[in-house]
Amino acid sequence: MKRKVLVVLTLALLGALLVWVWFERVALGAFPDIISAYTAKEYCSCRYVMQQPVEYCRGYVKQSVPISDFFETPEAKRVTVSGLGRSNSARWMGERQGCRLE
Amino acid sequence: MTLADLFHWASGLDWQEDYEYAPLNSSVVAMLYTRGRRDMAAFTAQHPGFSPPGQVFRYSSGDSNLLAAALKNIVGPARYPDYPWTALFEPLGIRHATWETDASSTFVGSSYTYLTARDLARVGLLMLRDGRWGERQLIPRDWIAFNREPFARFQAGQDEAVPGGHWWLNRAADPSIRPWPDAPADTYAALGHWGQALYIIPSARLVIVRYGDDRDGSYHHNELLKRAMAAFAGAVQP
Repeated sequence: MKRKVLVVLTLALLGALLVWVWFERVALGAFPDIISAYTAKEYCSCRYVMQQPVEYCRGYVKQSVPISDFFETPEAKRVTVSGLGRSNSARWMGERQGCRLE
Repeated sequence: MTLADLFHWASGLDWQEDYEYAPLNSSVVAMLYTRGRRDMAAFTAQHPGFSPPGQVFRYSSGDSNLLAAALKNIVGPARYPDYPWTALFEPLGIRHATWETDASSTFVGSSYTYLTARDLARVGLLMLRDGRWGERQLIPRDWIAFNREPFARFQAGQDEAVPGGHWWLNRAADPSIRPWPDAPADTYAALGHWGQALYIIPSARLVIVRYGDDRDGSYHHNELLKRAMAAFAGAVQP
């Protein structure tokens, strides 16, 4: 009897989780992009718009979610960051336009 | 929906402004970094309404970007890319300004203007002088009055300061509301992320620019204003 209750409870929780995933599918799909896009864009602006030193900017963009890869091309003023399985790049476009995600 | 509704952050759109604490459902994070980044105004406009426009204050970065997109229609796409420079920065003598855009070339009105502290103070001085710069009335006096007029439907506790026309005020329609009790009632401010601030205190003839990177919540506007008033108000102005 106890086991049956547990199975029903687990199935109900799983069902609720699936309903939640369905309702949040758009937000959940975009979620893993946040950390790499945020880091690429804000680091690019920190370096090439605000013209702060590398160490300062690495600290400036640091969040609790870790990134897995960071690649900067100073000649192109372009930054590519990977994290949570996604990758995003930002590039400096000019003095007035600053940086933008690609 | 009117431009005034957007200036009061009262579009009525069901926007979620949370940043770091609720990233999944944050409208602003999605706008800046994921789903909205190509066209931030269009992303904002896709939000359903929660109230008729002009009725309820709810701070929204999306409202600022709808205004930035509306400006494109007002001045036309040919003048738009240079408009902040020709209309404002160059007349004020600001030589180095950056205003980033989204992929649709619309200025990110909510977030991404970069000025030195000294140049931001020029904007403050323009406001302090009621829109006058030298011999030119660069911004109509009535416009500054609109900026400084509290949104009548603001209710106590809805935000840390009182919304005016895209500026934060130290007074409301309800005289008991005074967000910064140690600063004069005519104090108003442009407030940014992580402690960026431009304060204008007309009665003390003071403009204060404060840049910071405060993520721990320990910075308080009232404390800085209190100390600045003690140090500078009443002093001989240059």
